[in-house]
Order: sequence, then C-alpha cells, then structure tokens
Amino acid sequence: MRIVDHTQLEELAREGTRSLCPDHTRITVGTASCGSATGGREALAAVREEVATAGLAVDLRETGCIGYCQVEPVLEVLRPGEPRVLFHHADAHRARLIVRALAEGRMPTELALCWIPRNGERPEWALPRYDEVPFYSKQLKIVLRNSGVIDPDSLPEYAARGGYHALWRALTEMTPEEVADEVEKAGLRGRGGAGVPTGRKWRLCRDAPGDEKFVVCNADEGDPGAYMDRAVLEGDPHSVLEGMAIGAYSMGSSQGYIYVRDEYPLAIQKLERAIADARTAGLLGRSVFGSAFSFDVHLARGGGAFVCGEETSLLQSIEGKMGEPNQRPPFPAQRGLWGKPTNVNNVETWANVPEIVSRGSAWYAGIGTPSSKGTKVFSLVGKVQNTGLVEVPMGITLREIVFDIGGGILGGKKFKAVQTGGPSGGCIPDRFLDLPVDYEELNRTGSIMGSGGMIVMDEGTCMVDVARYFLDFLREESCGKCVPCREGIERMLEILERICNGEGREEDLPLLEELATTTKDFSLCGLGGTAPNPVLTTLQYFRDEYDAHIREHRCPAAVCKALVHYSIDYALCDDCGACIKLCPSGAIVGEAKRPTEFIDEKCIKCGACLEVCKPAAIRVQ
Amino acid sequence: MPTLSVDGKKATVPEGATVLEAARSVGQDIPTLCYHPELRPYGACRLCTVEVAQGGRVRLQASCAMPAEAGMEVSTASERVLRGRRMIVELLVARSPNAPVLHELAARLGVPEGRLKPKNELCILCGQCVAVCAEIVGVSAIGFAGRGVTRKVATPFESPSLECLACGACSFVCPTGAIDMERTTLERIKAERSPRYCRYSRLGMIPNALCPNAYECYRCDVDQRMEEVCGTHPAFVASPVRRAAPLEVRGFQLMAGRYYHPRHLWVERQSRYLRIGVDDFARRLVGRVLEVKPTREPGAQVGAGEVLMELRLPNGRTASVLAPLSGQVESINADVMVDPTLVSKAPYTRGWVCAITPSAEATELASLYFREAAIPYLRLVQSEPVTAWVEAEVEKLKHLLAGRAPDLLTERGLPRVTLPEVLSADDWQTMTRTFFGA
Repeated sequence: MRIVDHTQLEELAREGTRSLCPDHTRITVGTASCGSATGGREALAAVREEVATAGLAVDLRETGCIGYCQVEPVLEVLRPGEPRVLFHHADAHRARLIVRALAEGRMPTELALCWIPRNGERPEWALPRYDEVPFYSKQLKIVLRNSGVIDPDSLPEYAARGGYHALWRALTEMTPEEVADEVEKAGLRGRGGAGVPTGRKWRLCRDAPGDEKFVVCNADEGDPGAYMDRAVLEGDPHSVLEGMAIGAYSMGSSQGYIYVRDEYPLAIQKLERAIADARTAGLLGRSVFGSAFSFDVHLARGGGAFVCGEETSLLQSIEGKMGEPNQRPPFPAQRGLWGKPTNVNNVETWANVPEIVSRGSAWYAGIGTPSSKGTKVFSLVGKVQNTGLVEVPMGITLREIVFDIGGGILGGKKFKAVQTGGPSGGCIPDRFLDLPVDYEELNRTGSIMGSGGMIVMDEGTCMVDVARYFLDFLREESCGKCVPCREGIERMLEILERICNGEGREEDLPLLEELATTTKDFSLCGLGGTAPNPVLTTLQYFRDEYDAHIREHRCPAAVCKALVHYSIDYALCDDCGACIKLCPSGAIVGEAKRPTEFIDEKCIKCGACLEVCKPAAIRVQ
Repeated sequence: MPTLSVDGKKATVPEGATVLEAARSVGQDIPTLCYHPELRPYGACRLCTVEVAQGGRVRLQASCAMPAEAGMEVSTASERVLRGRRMIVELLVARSPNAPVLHELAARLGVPEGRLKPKNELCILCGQCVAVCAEIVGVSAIGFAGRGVTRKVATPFESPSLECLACGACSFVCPTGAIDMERTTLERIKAERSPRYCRYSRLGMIPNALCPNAYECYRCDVDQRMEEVCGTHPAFVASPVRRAAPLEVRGFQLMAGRYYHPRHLWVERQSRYLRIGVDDFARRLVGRVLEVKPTREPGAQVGAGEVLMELRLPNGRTASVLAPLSGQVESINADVMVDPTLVSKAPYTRGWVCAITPSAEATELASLYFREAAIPYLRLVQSEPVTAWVEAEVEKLKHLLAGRAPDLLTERGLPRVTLPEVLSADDWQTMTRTFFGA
C-alpha cells in the first residue's frame, strides 16, 4: 500500500501499536550482532520451542541491541496490563526457564534485570525500574530510541513510535529552507567525529549550484571497539532512511547512498529490508507521500578500509575508485560524488534528524552544553564493569560515564586513563575525569570526540604500549598517499617499538614529538591529522612511563615483555603445580607439583602462569 | 582576479589559480615534489604546505591544491611551516637515500641527518608518473597498488602492461629517476613480434611510423629532434587526452575529430560512410525532439542542402535537417526512431541521425569546419576557425532573442527554456531559417 495521506500513516502507526502491545504476551529477543554472538539466536529457538510445547499464545519477535552488552542476550516479556520486563543473560537455558514460568502464569522476576514502565503502572515486583539500574540511570535515548524496542524489520512498529511523521511534517508543513533552519537552530553537530554543525553543512550543499545533488550516509564504522552505528542500523534502520529523506528534501537531492561496511552483514540485511518496505509504502522512491518530492536510497558496500570513513575517500570508493582522500577544498558540498554537490553525514547524525523535526529544535537545543547539543552514543569498553552502548546527554562528565554508568573498574583496580574517539583519539588521565563531555572540552585535552569509542584503561595498562598498539593499527590503515601519514606513522611506530623493547634512547622523545606534530599538521586528511593523538597525549600525561622505559628499562605496568621479569614467591606458593604444567617453554621446573626453579632465559613472558596462579605467587617486575 | 598577500607581497592572480601559483607569480619559491604545472594537483608530498590566514583563522594548507582567494594572507616560510617541511624532507631522505633531488632539498632547508634508519626505495610515491599516464597520455598503464607502507606504483596485477605506449612520459616526470623506461618496457616491446610502431606513432604524432632502430631511441634522429622541437616531453605536446577532449566554446561543446556543417550538423568519418548528427548548439535550440521523420529511405540519393528529415518538436513546431553533402543514404539510426529524445539527449553519440555514403567526399568535406586540436610545432593538422564560427552563431542567437522579457538566454548565451515552447510560430521559423537553413 502506498501511503499518500496522514490518515494512512496513522493507520500504519496503529497497526504498529497493535503489534508492539498485542492483547496477548509478546516476547522479544535481542538478535542484533551482539545478541547473536552471545546466544540470542539459540535463545530465540528455545523460546519458540517452549512456547509450542506449552501451547502459549505468544507473539515472538526479534529486536535490535538495547545497549547493555554485559548482560546479553537480553529478552523482554510484555504481558497485557503489565510493564515490560527485561531479562538479562537470557541464553537458551534461562530462556526456557522464563517461558516455563510464564506458562505457569508467573512472571519470573528472579531472572529479570528491570522493568520498563509503559502507562505509569507500578508493579509489586522486587525489581528495579529501568532508570534505577545504574547502567541506564543517566542515559537519555534519542538516537537509540527504538533500538531494542521495535522489530527492525517492521515498518508499522517504527511508525508507531512516531516514525515517518517527521518526514510527513517536513514535506507538508515546512519549506526546505525551514528544515535546514530547524536543524541549524537545534545545534546538531556531525557525530562522525569532526563535529561540523550539520545545519551549516546542509546549507552549503543546498546553496551549491547544481541540478543534481546527493546525500550520503557514512556507515563505514571502522574504529576498533566501536559499534554505535551498527546498533542503529541493525536496530532501527528506518530512522536513518527517514533522516536522509528529510535531509534530501532540505537540500534538493533525489538520490542517496548509504556506504556501509561489508563486515556488517546483518546491518546490510536490515537496511535492504527497510529500503524495500519504505519503497513499497511510498516513503522512498518516486513521489514520496504522493508529493512532488522524490528520493531513493542505494546501498554501497565498503571493503573495510579504515580510511574510507573519511568523507572524500568514501566518495571515491562509492565511485568505484581507490579509497583515497582528496584535498578539501573543494568540499563534497561543492564537488562531491561524481562532481556533484554532496552531503555526507554519519549514521548517528541522520538518526537524530527525525526527532529534531518532530520535537522541534528548541527541545533538542535544551539538551547538552552551550557548544554541543543533544546526546552522544558511546561504546563503553575496556576494563570497566558494565560494557555496552551508552547514550548520554552532552556535558555529562567522564566520571559519570566510567563510574556511574560503567560501574567502575574491573577487579577493583585503579583507573588510569580513558581513550575517546577511536584509534586516533587521545588518552585522558584521571585528573580530567570531571570534564564535561563535549567537542571542545575533549579537544582541549588533546583527544577528540571521534565517532564515540570509549576505551577504559586500568593501572595494568602500559601507556607506551597503548600508543604503540594504536599506531600499529593506523600504520596498517594509512592509505599511503601523503608523506607525513605514510612515513611519519611508520617512524613513530619504529621509535615506540624501540622503547617498548627497552632500547629507547633519550633523544627519541623529542624526535617522537617532532614527528607527531608534523604528521598532525601536515597530513592530507583526518586520518593522519589525528593519528598522532595517542602519542601526543600519552607523552603529555604519562611522560613518566616513557622515562621509566628509557632510563630505568622498566615497564611500570609490567606489560612490555622485553622489560618484565617473572619470578615465583615460594612463600605464597601452594604447590598446586598448575604453572609447571602450563608453562609452554619449560621455564618452571619442579619436583612433582612443587616448583623449584624459575629459568629466566627460557621464559617467554606469555603470562600463562600469572593467570593460572590462584594464590598470586607469580611476581612480575 | 583575486588579490592576496604572500609573505607581505601583493599577488593578483586569475580566477581559479592556486596559492602556489600566486606565490610563484611574485617570486616566492615554495618547494614541491608531487606538483607538475600540467597535471591536476595531487597534494601528496605536502611539501608546499603554507600558512593561510583567512577570516581570522590560520590554517596549514597544501598550496598546490588550494584555490587562491581574495584577502588571504599567506606565509610560505613561517617557523611552523619550515619545521614541518624539514621533517617531511627528513622522512623522504630516509626513505630514498639515493635520490639526489632530496639531498639538494635537505641541504637547502638545513635538514638534520642520520636520525632515522635509512630505507632503500627510489620511488617517493609522488604520483606524477601515474598522473601523466592518465591525464596526458590517457592510457593509465600504471597506477598505485597496495596500501600504506606497501603502496607502490605498478602495472595492473604487476604483469606487463598491454596499454603502455612506451612513450616514456612517466620516466620523464619522475623526480628521483625511479622509472627506468629504456631498460624495462622497451625491452619488452622489443621482444614482441608485433609491428614495431615508433613511440611517437603510438602517441598519435607521426602516422604509421615503424621503428628502424630496434627501439634504441638514443640512436634515432626523430627521437633526438622530438624533445628539442617540443621543448618538453612530446607526450605533453601530443596529449592524446586533451586532443580527444571536447572543445567548449561559450558553453557549447564540440567533439574532437569531427567536421561541422554551418547548419549545425556534425559529420564523422566511419569506415566506408559518413555519420551525421546534430551538434550541441542545435540540440539546445530544439530542446526535446518528439519524432524523427526521415524523407529518404535507405538506399535513396540525397543532394547537399536537400531536406533529409523533419524533427517534430513540442508546441507543434518543427525543424528540418538538411543534408550536409550529397550521396546515398546508407542507414537511418533505428535508436532515434524508437526514442527520438536521443537526438537532443546524446547528440554526439547514440543520437546520430543517419549515415551517408558521399559522392564527392573530398571536396565537400573540405568546405566544412574541422575540429581537431592542432599539435603545435609539428603542424600535423591545421585547425579551422571553428571557434570563431560558434562565437558568431552565439552572437546571432543573442541578437535574434534580444530584448525579450524574461530573458530567454543565460548571460553566456545558452537557452534557459525550451525555445519551441515559448517562441511564436513566426519567431521559430526565423530561428530555423537562420540556423538550420530551412
């Protein structure tokens, strides 16, 4: 059915509401990539089987990621007249238990994480409410509003959550100019990393002369450990399509591309389905909502080069050329895809747009700090209790993210640094923990907002090794076009490897700093321009660790293999013999189960003995 | 003509010039390695980076690719610039210790020595060879392969290139001598049994010349003369790419290698016959073609100036296509019969209208304008004043449509609207009589 008027859109939304809140039990299993990886698919099969056995009338649906990766797979139960109940660690076994309890007419709250209010009801369960769970307490979901709630394959469910109403509003009540104004007034800034005001970018493209224009969605999320965009595409693909359609209307474009990396097969599948559904419903394609505005979206699949997340490289790649950046100006808004004015925005940016249009710029601008509005999704990973996707209002402090939402450091260790902005972000030490998170404040520390990666490091992390690790990644991913990035990163890595191997020299640090500054200032694109950040920030905040490596030939965190020595504290040893059995190089010699000798020359510093030793008798220096 | 300041000197440069060109125009030298005035800016060596102050912001920008804008204040040798420049040269010297050009630069900039472990690459990946092959010669026999530290210049799949003309332009532009043309590619061509066309023949400069010297060009008189006569590598003079590029006169395009009839038709020599179509000027006048009605069947004779076909246009208007020369109609393009809009959509390609076997080709073709970019110095082809003719036609059009409100033409003289739809029957007849002769 093609939707051409508002009553039809309302009808679609009502259909979605019926499916979101059916008059019998609805069970939803998170089967996005993260859920599937922890057994969500098996849980889904188990639920299906149990439901059939018990003969329950259940609406079984799949959904996207609800953010709390630590407790995946997540399963949700909704019974008529009750709030939604979220179950954690719902693998196949626990899923069966849940369904069996439901079959007995009982809500198994002992397996549940929390309940999510619907109509203000307050159940009698001894269970925290959604916003009483520390992980969710400080979050504000705008971009992830539908992820983990709706079935991403269901257009009606998206419409039921207000979906495509913003596009309707833009097309029927607003001029293209007004849409751009609204986005500009909202203060939305690019979520891909650079933080360029989206409204200004749109205006540049709008005003560029040209009969044909393109809008592009950058879904080439390449930062290791970052998966915000994947969650949006897998959990709520229509929000990106709607955002792009609104942008296209505002900029006078009729063709859009989503550049999505091929490593996201599920995201591609969901997008293909969403595009097909939207076309059938007349929300994409010729004459959207029966109006004079036409807009269609094509998928372009990326081959996985990190540099293709840079917009000029991305456009080259869509054109079928080698993914290499070009100097700006000309900006894509002036000369982009096939020489036509082109607007490139990140997934998260696009997903913000429908909410801004439907709820108004004033509402959006009321969230955040003076320079950075709205929310930002971070993927909180590393040595932190609760890992997952967190969407927080701008201006929240790092401490709140790491300690309140993240629950603090794993294993009671001490916090050392948090790295924001992916491999080319900087490492921020504890003295900046009370820093409000926004674009400017993060830049001031030498780091970047980036696309939203956030890696927490504890005292067992060697900062020289961290810098080395990230530069190794960037060396692999530099396209090699310009000299500072290609040669500079390689040389910096060479020096860092030297330092990690205990062969560092006094004069290495000034040279490292000089290389880093030149690479940052002189590189052609953002990859080289930000690549030295891990080096520069660790040099600035953790110089003592560099000095310890170079002068004392010591790795304070006991990470750099060439600089650490293992030994056994025989006083603590409980003679279990596990280390003798495990040591792959025969460095631990013992009689029966009692270690008697540690042969330093044979030790390959793999750390296996350290992990297996229960009484912590292995010493590392 | 923007005026900007370069190290305190005022530079006024033509629209579209780069900051590098502006700096060099006032005698400020900026070192470059990947820049070549005949090639598109590539911006890879970053050596030409300068500080540009504009609108209260100071940014580092590669001057070779940065368009000069009025009011810019450029510092070509600030401390920040020089420090980075030295570092870049130091990195390059460490990569290619055997390239003399880098040592000269290092000496000039005072680059410290011996801080980085030397590698042994001759190629600095400046990309000039790749660009000259693609943008001047037009064969793209070489390109970049690999990524990052493994990046290198190579032929596709690193197998001997079949496209390479062995013209040697890549070797000519290489600043470090990393491409040894004479010994590699020429050896391979020598080993082939194919007719040994001279490399200048392959470049389209000398028709059908075979090499009598077993490709030992240093023994060849022609080769010795070529560079002398051209003053640069002959590929830049011959530039097959530029010769094949459409010529644009006042916004109207003229394809290369075709004859143009004053009634706005083009004629292109095919193997046995001549192919005919309408030119860019005509298609912009007629707008959309609704129907093509040929007056002659294939096989029939047609005399020069006789009506060959009628074009039915919007608003009941028509236009006639007159035969540019006499001969036998060979065929009518079936594509335009099915989709007449092709005539104005793709006038030079799929939208050709018919083919004619001429009765007296030589004399009649000579009376047409010929659009072939001349190769200077060698004077292989003399260019006819095709440019002047188009200029005159545009003026005629402007004169005919002058004083109408709203303006039917853009400032350059391109129609803004579909003329058959807005002009009265009388006006349209005047138009067709003036420009199409009927």
